[in-house]
Amino acid sequence: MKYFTRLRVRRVYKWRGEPLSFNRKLKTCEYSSLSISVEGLPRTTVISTGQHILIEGEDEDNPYVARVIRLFGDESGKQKKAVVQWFVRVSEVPPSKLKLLGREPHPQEIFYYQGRSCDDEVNAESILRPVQVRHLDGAAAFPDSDDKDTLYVKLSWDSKTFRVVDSAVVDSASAEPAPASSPPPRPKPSLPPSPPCSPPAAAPASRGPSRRALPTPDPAILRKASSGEVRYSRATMSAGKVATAAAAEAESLHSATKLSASKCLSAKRRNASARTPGVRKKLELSSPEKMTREDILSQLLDQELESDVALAQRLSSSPPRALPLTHSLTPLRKGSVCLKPSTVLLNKLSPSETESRDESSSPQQGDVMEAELPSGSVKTPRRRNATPRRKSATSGQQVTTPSRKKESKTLREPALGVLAEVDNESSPMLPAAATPRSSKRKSAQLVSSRIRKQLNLLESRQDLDSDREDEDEFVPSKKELQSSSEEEEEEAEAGLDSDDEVVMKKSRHAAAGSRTPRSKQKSRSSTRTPRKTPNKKVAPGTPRTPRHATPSIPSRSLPARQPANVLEEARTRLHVSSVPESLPCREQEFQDIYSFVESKIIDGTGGCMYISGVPGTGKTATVHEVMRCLQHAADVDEIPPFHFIEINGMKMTDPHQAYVQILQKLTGQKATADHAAALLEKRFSNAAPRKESTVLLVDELDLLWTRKQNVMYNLFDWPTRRHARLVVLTIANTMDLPERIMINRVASRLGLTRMSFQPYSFKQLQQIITSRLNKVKAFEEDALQLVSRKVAALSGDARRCLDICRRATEICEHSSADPSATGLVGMSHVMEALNEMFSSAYITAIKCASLQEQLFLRAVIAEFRRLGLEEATFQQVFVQHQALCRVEGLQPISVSEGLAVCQRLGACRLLLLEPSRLGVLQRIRLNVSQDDVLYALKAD
Amino acid sequence: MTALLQHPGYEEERLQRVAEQLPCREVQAGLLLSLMGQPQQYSYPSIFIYGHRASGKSHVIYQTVGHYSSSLQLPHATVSCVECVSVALLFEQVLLSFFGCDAASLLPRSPSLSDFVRIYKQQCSQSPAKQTRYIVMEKAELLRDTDANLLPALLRLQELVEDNITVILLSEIAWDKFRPNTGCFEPLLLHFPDYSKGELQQILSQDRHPSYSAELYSSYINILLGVFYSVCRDLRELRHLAALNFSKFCEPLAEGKVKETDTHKLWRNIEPHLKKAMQTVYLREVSSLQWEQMQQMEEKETGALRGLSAHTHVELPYYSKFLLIAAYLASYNPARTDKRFFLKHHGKIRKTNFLKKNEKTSNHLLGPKPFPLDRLLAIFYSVVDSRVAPTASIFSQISSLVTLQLLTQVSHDDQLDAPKYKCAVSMDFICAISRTVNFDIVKYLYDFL
Amino acid sequence: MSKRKGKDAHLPVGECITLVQQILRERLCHQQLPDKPDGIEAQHKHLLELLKRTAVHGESNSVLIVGPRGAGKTMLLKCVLRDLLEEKEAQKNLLQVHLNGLLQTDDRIALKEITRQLHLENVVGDKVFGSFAENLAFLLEALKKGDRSSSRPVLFVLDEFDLFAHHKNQTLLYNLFDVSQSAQAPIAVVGVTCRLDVLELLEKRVKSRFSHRQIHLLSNLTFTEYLERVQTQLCLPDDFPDSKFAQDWNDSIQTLCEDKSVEEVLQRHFNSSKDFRSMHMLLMLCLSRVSVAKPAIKPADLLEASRLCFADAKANMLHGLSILELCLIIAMKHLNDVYEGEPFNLQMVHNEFKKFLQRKSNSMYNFDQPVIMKVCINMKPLSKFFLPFNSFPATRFLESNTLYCFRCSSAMIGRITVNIYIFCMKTDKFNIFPSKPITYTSCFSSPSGLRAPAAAGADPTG
Repeated sequence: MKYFTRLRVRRVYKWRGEPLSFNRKLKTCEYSSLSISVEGLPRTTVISTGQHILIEGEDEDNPYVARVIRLFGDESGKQKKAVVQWFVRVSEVPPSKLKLLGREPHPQEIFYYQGRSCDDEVNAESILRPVQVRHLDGAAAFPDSDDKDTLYVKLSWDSKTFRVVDSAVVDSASAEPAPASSPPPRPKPSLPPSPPCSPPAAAPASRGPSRRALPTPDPAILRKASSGEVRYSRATMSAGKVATAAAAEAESLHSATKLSASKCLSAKRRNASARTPGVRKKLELSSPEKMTREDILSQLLDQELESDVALAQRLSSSPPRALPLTHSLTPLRKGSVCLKPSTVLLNKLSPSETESRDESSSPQQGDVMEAELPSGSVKTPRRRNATPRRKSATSGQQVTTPSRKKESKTLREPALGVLAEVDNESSPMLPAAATPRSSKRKSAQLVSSRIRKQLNLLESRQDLDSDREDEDEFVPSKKELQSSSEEEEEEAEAGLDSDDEVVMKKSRHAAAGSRTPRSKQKSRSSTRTPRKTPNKKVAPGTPRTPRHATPSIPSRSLPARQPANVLEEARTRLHVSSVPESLPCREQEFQDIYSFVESKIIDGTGGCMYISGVPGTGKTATVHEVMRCLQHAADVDEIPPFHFIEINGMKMTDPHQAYVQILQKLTGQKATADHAAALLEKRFSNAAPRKESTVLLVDELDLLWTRKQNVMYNLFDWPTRRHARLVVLTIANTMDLPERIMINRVASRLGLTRMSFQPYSFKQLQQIITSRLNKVKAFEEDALQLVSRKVAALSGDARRCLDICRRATEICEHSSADPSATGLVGMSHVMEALNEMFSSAYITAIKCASLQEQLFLRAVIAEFRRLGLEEATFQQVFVQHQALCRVEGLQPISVSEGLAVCQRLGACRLLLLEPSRLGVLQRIRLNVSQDDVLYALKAD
Repeated sequence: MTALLQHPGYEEERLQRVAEQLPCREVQAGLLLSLMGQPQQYSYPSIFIYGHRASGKSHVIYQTVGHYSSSLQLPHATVSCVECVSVALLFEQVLLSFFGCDAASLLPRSPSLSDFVRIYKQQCSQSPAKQTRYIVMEKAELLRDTDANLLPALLRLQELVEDNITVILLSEIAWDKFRPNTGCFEPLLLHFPDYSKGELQQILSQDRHPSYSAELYSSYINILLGVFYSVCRDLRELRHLAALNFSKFCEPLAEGKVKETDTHKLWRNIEPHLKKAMQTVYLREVSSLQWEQMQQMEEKETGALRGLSAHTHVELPYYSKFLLIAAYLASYNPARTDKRFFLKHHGKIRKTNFLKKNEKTSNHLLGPKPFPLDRLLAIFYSVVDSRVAPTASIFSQISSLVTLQLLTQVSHDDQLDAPKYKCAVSMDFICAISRTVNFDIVKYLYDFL
Repeated sequence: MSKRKGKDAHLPVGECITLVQQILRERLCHQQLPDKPDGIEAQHKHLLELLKRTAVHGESNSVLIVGPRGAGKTMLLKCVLRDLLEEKEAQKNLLQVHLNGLLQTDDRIALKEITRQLHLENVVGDKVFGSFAENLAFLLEALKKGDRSSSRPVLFVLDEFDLFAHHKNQTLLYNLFDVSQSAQAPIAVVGVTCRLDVLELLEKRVKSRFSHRQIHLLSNLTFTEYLERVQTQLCLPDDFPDSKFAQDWNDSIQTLCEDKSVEEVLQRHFNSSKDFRSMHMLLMLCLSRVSVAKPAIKPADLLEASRLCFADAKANMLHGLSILELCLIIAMKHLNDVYEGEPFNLQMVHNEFKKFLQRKSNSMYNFDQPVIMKVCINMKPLSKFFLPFNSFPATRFLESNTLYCFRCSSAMIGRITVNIYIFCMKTDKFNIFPSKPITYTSCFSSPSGLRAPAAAGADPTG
């Protein structure tokens, strides 16, 4: 098929025969068959309903497989459409999911796709040619036939589970064509019924947008959606599995605020109440529990009765230890406020881990599992082994460990950056697995091969214990393997008598029953790993996986010490990196950005927004906050799913790298700047199938400036394209950047949606600090006042403010060596810190300068006075210097020495000098004001 | 004198030999040696040696550090910054002479300083220095013109590569003009003073002619120095002169007219030649061979003693000579005086009339001034006696004069309509030219009015 | 050592001297670390605390060490690191990356170096794979993966910090500071610079990300402290094998420092500069004069050394000039005075020279312009005394044989302005004031060219 699709032959599509029927409402008439003739070649291929066809996708080597259900077109006959039933290739199924299959997938194998979120109406022009699809029953082995054109269907894939599909479905589905109007995501009665836990996503409210968001197939989205499915199903499984209270705990455990905020947003959208997210959000901060609880309840209600059939069975069949797991969450959340997550991490990491700790930490792993599910962290393992090279599941697992840890942490104290990053990079990474492009890159292979060589030399010990851990990793996966296999057998025999409904149902239930423990085990094993692996890898620079280069800092051998006293505690909270529970003082901006992006996403359009503000006013932070909320909203299907991509002008070596980074984060493929630009252009300009909107955050916009400004131009031009659902948020420091550096066509495309972050006022700064150290009493009130007033007066930079406070705590610590001092940071400390940070060193430098240097400065000033201008040559100054020396009663110094003195002053920039090769003719200027010099000299 | 050159850690006879190689430089050598200390000890990171040309800087270094078989063999790399047009060469040179060619081959194509330091480190971790390593850089003043980081980095190389290494910079310029703008590690300054007259005498006397006695030669040197010492103290130059004139000096001896002891007669004999040579000191216009030939020639045509410069004359086509003259006039006369010089009927205009008060110096001191082409042509037509048509040949001759660098075009090339020129010849040259076309140029020069 | 001290081996003097040289040279040349930072305890404590927090608590930080050259910035840093690594906890965790603005002249090189020193996985041997952009992405990715409590803290030391600020867009600095301000792998960025205005060099967003911690090393030490330091620098340690010799040596140092002349020499040095490097240079010069013959530092040595240090380079160079060159320079000086600093050309110089010759005809020959020019050229490329106004390619003169040189002689009549002035004329060689005509005579009172031999020739006749 390669050669066939490679050479871009132009095909002619014609209807064969008369229209079978004419649909008045839709003005479409249905046809029995379609003939494709390749111009140049005489023969024409005929596509008739019920036939399996190849539909061209972005991956040319293996186009999509589908079966024609209906062929129809408008009466003019230029619009040719086809309703198809999708099949999924192995490559399209996310690799991690392939594990569920429990066996090596056959290259020619395809799966009967019954997931939602995939439009079954395709453009007839996208049909390549018919293909032969044979149905095999579960037990049967694949006939190793060499012809590439026959594909085999065994199982069906509904984006979370594989299930035996009977030949009847594959073949006889043509019998009753599905009505085009019926939403495809909805499992049709004809198809094998959807899994027990059909998500509430299918609720009418959110279906509309999600439907609109997905016109036609696209593997990336398919996977995204599927993974979304999985997450969701897991979440609800857990929710359904245990008592609702526990579920509520579990749900509300991860970032209560975000969850509730978005929830209430959805609520708002349902019963069109005009409540702004920001406000509600702040309300939620107070009482997350209740809200989430009722939410969960509503979710549970959403589920149909079969779900509670499943519930019953799951309760019966799920391993006993699942219950204590989730129950034991409750005490934990009653614990201290924000200290907890890190401590949790600590004892998850600490090698010397007592049994009691283990006990206490088992709930953690439980809630790690629970918590991280909805956060898209399950995707991260997939990203890891999303590399061209084959690798065992275990290596995949141990790779994931760092990111898992991060997840579990960030979920409880959501880091501004990290979570958003993970979300946006994890899913687009995936195709890297599928597309061979990335592996084609020479350098990559070179690197990997070299590294592999080196590493084989390097570690023996590492391999050993990695093996060891492999074993205990394997236990669950093996179990899972056999469980799945046995399940398959039983499904197989169920599949034998296909048309019997009852058996079908039973088998399905059995499957459902046997499935749950597997997912449990999987998540358990995966959550156990973070606690183990870091301790094993102590040697610096030990690659985390011996297969290929992962960018990673080796993890530390000894655990990080935790803040002991109040001051240290305060310091950690005041560190800029530590993430506050909420961003105070930016509600308005938050709201505006939120509504902007949200509206764009919902009605799938594009747009630009320009955000300006001096450094340290929380621009990036706010945007990330917004994105996190939106992501969550997307996760619970209040708004259609979307990519979030972030690029930073400062973090690339050259403006054109922007293309490369965007492309990589979007599709995971690597390309040169030009190629990437072309690809993106293509992607955004023409209507790709199954597309979802993209939110692109461009930080430090001004650095993307090029002479021809083509980078900026493209960034702002893409959103205006019809099919590109692209929302671009740009951030820069200067308010009038568009006017200053942009040529008109760029500036006009950027549009007028501007927003400027004002520097924080001292009240806001104060509020920020207090909100950061909430209830940690470390500062005196007026001390805070002083800091915030001072900073607000100078720059209004929050970072500065926090830094000063931290410094103040240190000073306080040093000074509090004497018992008399109170633990609190007082005025004196803050004053000292302020002086350290803001006072310039010039005066002290002059005071500390040597005698001759001081004399020379005097001479300089004297000469300036004499000349009446601010510049003099060394020669002139030196005359003065000699005179001064005589006055001071010192023996006059030689010229060389004088030059040395002068250039020493120049080196620390008290003076500004010309290049020294001018010798005595070099001109001298003062870099300090004369008054400062005089003051400094007078002082001593 | 060798007492100065004894230092623990080096074997005696070597030092002895070195000392013999270094006449009149024992003090400096001794100081340098004591600074270097014993081979295994640390030495000061960077030493800067400055002094006039031919004051034996490189010689001393080579003798002490190495580079000669006779010298104490210390690990060293000598780099002449003139040869190193790119830093790559410099690095390669250093690595090559310390660690051999395989190390030098490790350098990437366009090595940066950090590459160099990295490779150096890993090399000297394999073969640590038992003795202090020395990098000698000649003509160090050129380091200022390479990238700005090189010099400071070299000065603190010991710290950067964590090896017992010393960088020795040789230059003729004082350190004051080296310091980079943000300062740097200050090297240890050493000054090599010039040879005194006595020292010169001693050194020059060493290379005496084998066939003549030492005292004769030294008396010859004495006379030579008597003449030239006031003019040049450059050892090399003096060597050259001595070589040139010694044969002349010896002529009477060869003819047997004079005895070696009769210095007065010898002096009489040599004096005119020395005078002649005095005119051309430093110029090195001719090899000693040519010099002798010329003197033969002058013996025949007993012309007045003329400096060599008079020998140099160029052959030019007729009009070119006039063009050159015109150019000279144009560039040394103020434009407003042209009327007075070149018009047939100018009234009685005295120089005082158009003598500006502010002209304190003559135009000849201020050098040639640029003039437009048409002025040149105008003057040319008035000075050339016959009628000349403004043909292309004239213009081509102008351009050829430019290529001969007798004229220089000061205006930019793209100015086709009115290019500006300067006359680039000196007074006596133009006098010689005008004499050949018997044109009295001095009459037309404003300065000599 | 202590054992040998116990039985107090009495070594021969030569050996002792060798040992002394070895020890002191390590101190003076190799900048061997002192046991405790004297005078800068506060800064030491501050920095140590800071780095400890990074190493132990995994808290990201950034700090600048600012101080004039030779104030002991690097010494401080090294001391702190040494003390820090004594803690097992820190030592096992801390990764170090040392960069130097002199070596890593742009971000590309710096990134490769960082990757190399971190042993990231795109390094094999000492080869770093990937383009500049890839390296940057890789590093950022790596740092982003880490987090406060789990991954090892990284210490970035940027020597000559100000040079990094000149890199394009300050990309490296931005990213380092950004990491240090966000919840990623814990890093500490320590910048070392001698520029007081270094913060003005930072772009505002970079500046905002830098926690404005600066540690200033501005030592205002008094002369007594200076003296003490000199003494401590020269004294021998107690574990010197030959305790008797050490005793004598230290006593001699003691007496040396009390000597009046020594004191004023040191005072002079102290006045001119307080930094350690210049002091080390001085002491080094003294030390180099210690030999078996003279196993102690005498005041004379110190005087000699300081004489070397304070020698005026220009005067030195002037000493070496021949009479002719001096005449020309004086002529230039004269012209310089006449046309108050206005540029003039070779022709003028020649004329000036000729004028003088007319005044004292017999004292020197009149040289043609070529010679004069050549002399000037010999001085010019050295730019010892005057610098070309519009400089010609020096090669054009050096490769010039007469004809050519002569031809371009007046073409090169470029204007040259004298960069020589009264101070360097006031050398003991001729105590004269150059702009007065008397200059010339007095300057040529020195035995002039042709007379001496003539006289020598005269008496045999007479």
